[in-house]
Amino acid sequence: MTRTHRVSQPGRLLSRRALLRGGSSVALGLPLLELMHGGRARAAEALQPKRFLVWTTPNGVVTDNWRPIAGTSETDFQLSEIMSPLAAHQADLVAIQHLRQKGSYGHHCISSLTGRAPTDRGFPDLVATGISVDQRVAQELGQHTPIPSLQLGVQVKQNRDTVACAAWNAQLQPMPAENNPYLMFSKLFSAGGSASAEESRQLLLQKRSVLDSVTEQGTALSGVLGAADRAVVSNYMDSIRDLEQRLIALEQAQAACATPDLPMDPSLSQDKPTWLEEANVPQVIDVYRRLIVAAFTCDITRVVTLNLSNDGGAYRTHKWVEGIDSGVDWHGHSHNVETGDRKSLTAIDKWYYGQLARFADDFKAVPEGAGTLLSNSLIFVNNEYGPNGPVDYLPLNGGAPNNLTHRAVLMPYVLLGQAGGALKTGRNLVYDFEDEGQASRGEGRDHTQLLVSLLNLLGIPDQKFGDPDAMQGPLPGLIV
Amino acid sequence: MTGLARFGARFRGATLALLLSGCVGDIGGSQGSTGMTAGGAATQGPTPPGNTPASCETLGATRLGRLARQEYLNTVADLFQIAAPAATALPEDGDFGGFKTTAGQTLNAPLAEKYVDLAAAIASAVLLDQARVFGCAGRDEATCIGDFLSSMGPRLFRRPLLPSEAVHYQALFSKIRATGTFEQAASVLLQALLLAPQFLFHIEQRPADKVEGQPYALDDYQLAARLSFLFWRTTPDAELASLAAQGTLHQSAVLDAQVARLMNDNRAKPIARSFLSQWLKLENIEHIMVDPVKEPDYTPARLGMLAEETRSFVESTFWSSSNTLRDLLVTKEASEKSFGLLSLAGFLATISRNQSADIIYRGRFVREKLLCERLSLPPPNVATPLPQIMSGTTNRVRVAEHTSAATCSSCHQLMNPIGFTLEHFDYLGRWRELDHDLPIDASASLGQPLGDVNGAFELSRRLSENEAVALCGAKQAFEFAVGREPTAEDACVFDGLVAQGSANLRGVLQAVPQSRAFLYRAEPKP
Repeated sequence: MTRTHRVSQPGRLLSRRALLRGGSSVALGLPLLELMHGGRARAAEALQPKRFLVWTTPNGVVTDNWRPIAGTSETDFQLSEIMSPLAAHQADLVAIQHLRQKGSYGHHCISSLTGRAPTDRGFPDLVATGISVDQRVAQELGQHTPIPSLQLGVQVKQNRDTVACAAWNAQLQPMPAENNPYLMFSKLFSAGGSASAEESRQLLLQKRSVLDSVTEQGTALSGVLGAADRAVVSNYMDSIRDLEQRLIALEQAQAACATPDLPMDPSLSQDKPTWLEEANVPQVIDVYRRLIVAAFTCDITRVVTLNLSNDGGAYRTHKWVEGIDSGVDWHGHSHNVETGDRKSLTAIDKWYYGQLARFADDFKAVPEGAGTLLSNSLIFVNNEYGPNGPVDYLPLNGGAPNNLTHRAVLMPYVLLGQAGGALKTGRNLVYDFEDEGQASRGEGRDHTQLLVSLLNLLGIPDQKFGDPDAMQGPLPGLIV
Repeated sequence: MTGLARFGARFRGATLALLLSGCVGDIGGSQGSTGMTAGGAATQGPTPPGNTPASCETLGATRLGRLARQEYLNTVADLFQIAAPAATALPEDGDFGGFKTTAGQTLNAPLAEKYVDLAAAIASAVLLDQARVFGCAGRDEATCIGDFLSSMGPRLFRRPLLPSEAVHYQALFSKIRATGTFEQAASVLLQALLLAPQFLFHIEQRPADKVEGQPYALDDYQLAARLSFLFWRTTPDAELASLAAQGTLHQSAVLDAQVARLMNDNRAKPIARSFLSQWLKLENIEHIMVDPVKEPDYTPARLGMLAEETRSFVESTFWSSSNTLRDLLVTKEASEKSFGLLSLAGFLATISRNQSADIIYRGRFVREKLLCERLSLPPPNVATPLPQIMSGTTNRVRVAEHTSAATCSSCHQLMNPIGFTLEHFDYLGRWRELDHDLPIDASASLGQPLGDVNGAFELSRRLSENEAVALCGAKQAFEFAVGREPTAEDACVFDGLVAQGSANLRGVLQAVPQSRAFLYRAEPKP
């Protein structure tokens, strides 16, 4: 599998220092930018491309404390406690209530972005059965950037890669998230502004020589292997070639961009990878925020999937969140809602919305043409599943006591940003809800329609996504 | 009837009742090596009872995998005397619920990139002490690098370098050295070697005269690598390499002596933890969650002790002279409340969930891990969380009622009764007489082959006497040692192993290297 990268000849590489000397930054003139991307005509819109960020958390929410309270119209609504940190961005968001997710079992990480139930080979061996929406977007938007998409993770356990993985490519391979924000940062903005042109060239030559050697050896080896072994080695060779092309394209994109402040990896002086320590989660998210803003601004990628945790919550106890000190983990708190503790999970989710608000702040602070990075972006706030414990405002099943923990209904979706003007924000959309077993309440809608809408908002005209038996076409009333 | 065929017979018996529910997937053997079929072996289903497979000539297919995480780390540590830098993550092995494996996994760009980053980090670390590793100061560099390649190359690739490979790597060094420093050229060389497929993958190249579709005998270098990675999880040492070079390693007496040498060495000690922890999912011990308000005594230190007690019990059983599965399940001093694995607090805590004694999960665990049955998941979107417990009822009643619908009970009748018998142990493995203030009923009818059972002690005794459990133990050992599940094509080889060593936990592991499953390889059909 190789993707198309726009790659120009190394000889055309402009030195970063030369650019910096010229006071260049992201505000480069169009002709120069075109030259450096080696691109054919990039239309003016390319200066303000659409970006897509998937923000995904696990363990559902306390639905009563999450749902915006509807007023007289879709633009008249009041944020509830969990979403209250987004108050300053209420005009830039769309809340979408009551969709059901085409899901599978308990934790729905795999199906949430693919819109299809995974193949079950026995827990935890679950494999996606279709491409995830971020990767579908990357197939289109990713053609214009050195890196088609980034998968970032906060303590995402990789030994359960199939379960933990939100992103799946068209070949149904998991796209595991990188957990080390410092490594990612140095990779995207390596060498920094200090390296000379000659040093950069030498470094690139060395990196390429390594990869060339690998492909040369792999090709020779393939000739003497049986077909099945050859396929495994070829797959590795394809990946190495992919990385090599990316290396070249990235080098050019970096040259066109002011290097942001690099945080130093504290682990370099320690034995332990600090980014995997729970206490450092706030700091890791902070680094990711800077990284994503810079990667989007520099047009290194236009698609990022940020897993705030793997499914179930990575045993995180959130001791830095006010009122959370019991040592119960995230998943435990989601189940404790069943026995009446709504406060804890509410506080945790509110904290994550606070982090999201800081992303929105920073996106808004980057001017782009007449708008901002936020107005050119679409942030999709996703969750593994919907409710926990009983939901008060909707008497289900004729009012009997209910426990909706782990159910993929009443999904708490939010969109942030205007996707370059395609999305009218400041709205609260409440769809019909199907109470399972009591279909009379309303038709209900599948989240596959939201996934189609996301594609449409980003300029991809697909009319179908995910499970063909699910409801298709865009979500009515979302794109106006 | 063969061992695998007996599995099949029992499996078919169980299936008759369950086929409609789609509950039991199958036991190992019908889905290819690890149950992952994509691109894997196309093998037949379980052998029908009484129909012995053709001969010991057939063999299940082994898919090409990478060095496992620990193999990579150990090899780098052995070769360069450095620990892999922590700043760069090494990809985890695939965890599909059985033994960890990388066989058949695709190495897509994000994953490959991790190896690229790691190679760079290792090269940097090695070059901090380059004088020790290369020792080129004051020598002709080309000669020095040539010496480095002839000493380090075979250890990295687990066979002598081909002349073309030696030329390639020498040229690579020279190319970078022409415009760069020694350190830069040496770094590129190291990275290229660490990323070479010959190092990264367990390449078992077919012989030139291989007959298509037939298994082939491994050469002695490949055999040395298999032995070394199985017992020591690292690249072969000098003795194995020398026997491979002499071409005598495959000789039965030499092989026996080497297996004994490897197994009796301290470097084999981790094999017990690796095998038993993966089989019994003891890693979950690290993730036991206890509410410190409700259970102030259960500090992390105390939980650590419980974990260590469990590990130490299974490992010492493995290494002791009396190391049958029965020894694990029913100890010599067994009593009602303390009788072996299923009464160990640390272990019981790992098969509990959400701070409660999870009847369903416990039953499922016994079915899957001790009887080698594979159960399917609940159908999509069923209400898997249990309803809140009502006063005046027990956990047992709640579970039974919640799973009583026909769509649930076909599977749950396999899991729940086993869980019922364990009800005297709470989620932290403490003995209790009452559940929600009501007396516990730990009796259950488990059906064939376990019968009616009262309590976990009796369950353990029944399990320990059960042939299916013994075969399951042998199957687990086979899977661990060969790196794949036994298939119907392995039936003859597997029976041979069972005959030799199934009685004890170490037996199969020690018998495997002399078996065709270890000495030969069948390639998967592409």
